[in-house]
Amino acid sequence: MLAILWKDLQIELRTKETLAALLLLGLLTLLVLSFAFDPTSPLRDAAAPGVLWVALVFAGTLGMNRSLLRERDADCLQGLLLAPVDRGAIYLAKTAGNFLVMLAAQLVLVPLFVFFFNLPLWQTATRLAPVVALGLLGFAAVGTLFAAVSLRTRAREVMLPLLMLPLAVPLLIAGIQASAQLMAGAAVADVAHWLNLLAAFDAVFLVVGWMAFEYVVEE
Amino acid sequence: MPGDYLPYLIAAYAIVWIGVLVYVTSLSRRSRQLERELDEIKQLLDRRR
Amino acid sequence: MSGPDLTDRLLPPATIGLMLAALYLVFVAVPSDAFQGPVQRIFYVHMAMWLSTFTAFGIVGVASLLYLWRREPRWDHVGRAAAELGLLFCSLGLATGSIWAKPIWGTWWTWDPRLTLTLVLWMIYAAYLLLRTLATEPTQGATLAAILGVSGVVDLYLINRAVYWWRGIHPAVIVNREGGSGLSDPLMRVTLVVCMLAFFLVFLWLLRLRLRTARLQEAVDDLRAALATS
Repeated sequence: MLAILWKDLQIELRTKETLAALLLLGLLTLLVLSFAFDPTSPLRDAAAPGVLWVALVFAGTLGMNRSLLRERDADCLQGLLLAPVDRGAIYLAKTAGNFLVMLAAQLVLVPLFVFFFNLPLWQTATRLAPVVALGLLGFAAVGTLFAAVSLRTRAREVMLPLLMLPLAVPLLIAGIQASAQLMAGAAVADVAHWLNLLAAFDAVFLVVGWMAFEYVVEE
Repeated sequence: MPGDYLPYLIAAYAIVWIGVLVYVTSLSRRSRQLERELDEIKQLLDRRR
Repeated sequence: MSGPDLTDRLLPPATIGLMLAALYLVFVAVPSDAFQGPVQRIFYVHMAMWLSTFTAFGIVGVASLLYLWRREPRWDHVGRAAAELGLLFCSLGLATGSIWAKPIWGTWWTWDPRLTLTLVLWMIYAAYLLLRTLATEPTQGATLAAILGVSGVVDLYLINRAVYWWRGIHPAVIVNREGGSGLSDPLMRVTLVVCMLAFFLVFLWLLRLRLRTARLQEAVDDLRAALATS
């Protein structure tokens, strides 16, 4: 399993395609959403956590679509399936890969977010880190599974967000609410229930994906 | 004041009934179409034997 | 299925009978709510949609699981039929909820946790059916949809928690206005139960009709295949 993960990471490091796309998309989303709010209005600050998560979700969804699509085109998946590797392990490796790529993108996007919304850098970054990490993990878990599912439909690009986002509602609500409260100065204990929900979501979908992946990739 | 909202009440129940009836109609139409197809194919198969 | 003819014979009259009883209760017998007036009667049919919607969702989940486990086509048929009906009742539930909200709360839509949850559920149903339709190959489509079905059910508790916590800021507004605590008259409770059962029977009836259509479709497809090879 680690070998597959390593392979995925190597491809990513060499081409940096997905990472670049994620970064640009995330930045664009931040930008466009910033236009929605009058820079002087207090609404802007209230909307900040939402904006961050929309950027995360948007970029993340497209990033995952790309990476699996690329894989499909190169027929790497076929090669992998011929080998006697546990399907669940393939899933976990891909999820880990997607997670790490998204995390890397966030290392740039969160500072940009802080920059655009004029927030205290260190405070925001450290407070949001666990929430964002848990959120992205869950996102990778659902996304990897359903990216593979949507590859087998006739409307690939459209299918992934359609399948993923309703299921990811708990993740979105928890992420945004927790982020909002943390940014407003709440202690970690106050948002513990949201973090628990995120962790539960992650656990549930990692298990579901791990078990269901073999059904998706069979021919 | 409360009595003014009667149209809403009627609308709600109307929507439910119309919705269910539309679904039933489309279902029975499809059902009949399938039965016709089934007969056609059965005839074709019998002729082939 | 223990006695197909018996159920076929009993279900329609039982449904019609119960539905007539429900209509009588809703429009004639039950008293109007003191605060909301006659509009409150929408509540009965609105809640009735819920029982069917969630039952359908459960059926989709179970059928999906069984399909993945057993690979028998009939579980796929059950899942798809339940999803269609679930989508229908869910849509009607959302519509009636909205129509009720407008006069009572003054707005077509509120982010009331129940409405929000139903909306998310609606999207999952719609995605399930879309997946089934857009799959490149039918058998695989069944598998893929089943995975979504299982995921949806598993996710339901998490969605529920998230949505209720999110809207937990204004519980007083929700509880008081929702009508759940407003059932003062015992006849109201009876009406509610009768309504829910009546529409539940409609749901079951439609489910059987839909399953019959699915089986017909399967027969047609099989014969077509036989025709092509003979």
